[in-house]
Amino acid sequence: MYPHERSLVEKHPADKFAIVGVNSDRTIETARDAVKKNELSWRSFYDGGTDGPISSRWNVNGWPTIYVIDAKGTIRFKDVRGDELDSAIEMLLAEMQSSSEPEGAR
Amino acid sequence: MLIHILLALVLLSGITPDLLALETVTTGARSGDEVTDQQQAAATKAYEALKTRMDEAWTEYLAPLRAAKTPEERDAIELDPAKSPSVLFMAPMLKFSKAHPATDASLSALGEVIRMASRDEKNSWMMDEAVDVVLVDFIEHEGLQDLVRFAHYNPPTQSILRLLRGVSDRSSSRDVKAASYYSLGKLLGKNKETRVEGRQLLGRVEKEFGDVIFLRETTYGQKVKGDIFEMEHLQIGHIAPEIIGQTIAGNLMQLSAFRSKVVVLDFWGDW
Repeated sequence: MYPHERSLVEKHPADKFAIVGVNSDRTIETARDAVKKNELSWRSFYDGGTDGPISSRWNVNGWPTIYVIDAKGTIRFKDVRGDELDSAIEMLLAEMQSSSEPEGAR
Repeated sequence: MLIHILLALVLLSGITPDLLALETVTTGARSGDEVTDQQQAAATKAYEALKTRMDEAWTEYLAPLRAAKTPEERDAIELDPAKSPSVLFMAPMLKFSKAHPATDASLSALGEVIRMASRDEKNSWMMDEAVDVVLVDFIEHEGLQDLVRFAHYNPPTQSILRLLRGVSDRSSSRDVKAASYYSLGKLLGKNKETRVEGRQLLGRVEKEFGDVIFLRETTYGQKVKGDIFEMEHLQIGHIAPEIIGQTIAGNLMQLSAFRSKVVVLDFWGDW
């Protein structure tokens, strides 16, 4: 997962795309070490364990769990992986592009 | 008794599942008859042997993945789905359950058939047979709770829904009913067309079975709250609920600050 995520962050511009993590490690030291060791450039909420308030509210029972959210804040995909995740992101970025360039512009 | 020993030998001898499927071994018990302690014990022993062989087959089937040194190497490996133990052992498990009718081991085997067949459309007939036997021979068996508890992880096929509807309606055990209604509600909630019914069933679980234990200290009442929230606020098309909290680095962050960007929200842990 880490190499794939790193490649996504490298590939897409930071003003259009972000990864937001919710970390469920039992101790914050484990989480910090993981960030350092795997060179994770994106930020994560620290949730304090698998029964933390964020993952409980979001009803997460398996890790990793992935949500893809569009530029308007709407949930568009759940639990997509690999190529599916790539094309989901591409699609939402393209959608963003076309809505910011209304017909007849330029 | 002799037949039990023979069966145990057949199972222990390590012949292929395909061959075993052709064997016609039965114990003395017939559906509806009282099962003796000896019959239970013999069935359990034989089941454990079959299960061990299945576990070994899994170890062997997945060996190439374990041997891979890098994630890239692992991704490149294509396992033949037709040789998956879940395909090869479906028929032997079904056969086993018929050979030891009304025993606890028979129910365990039927549970395995249902799990394996639910992901294999070609073999849905085995699933249907297994469901029929469960609904007739085991409807009052407490072990049904384990069979239906995680049934919502299966794809919502007609057969799984028929199993859960049957168990929910006909079992008289509250523990079994709670587990069955819960799984049925979760499965129906996954599809847009049946979400309303799913939501109603989860509401029923909360009201009528809220005190029943799901696992360890968690009750169905607690469990179902998260599922109802997910159904009402975390579906595709819903605005993502706000998250405000501390980051690993110790700064305050909120999810809505990422509006205007495409966001991958990743629940992760390094374990």
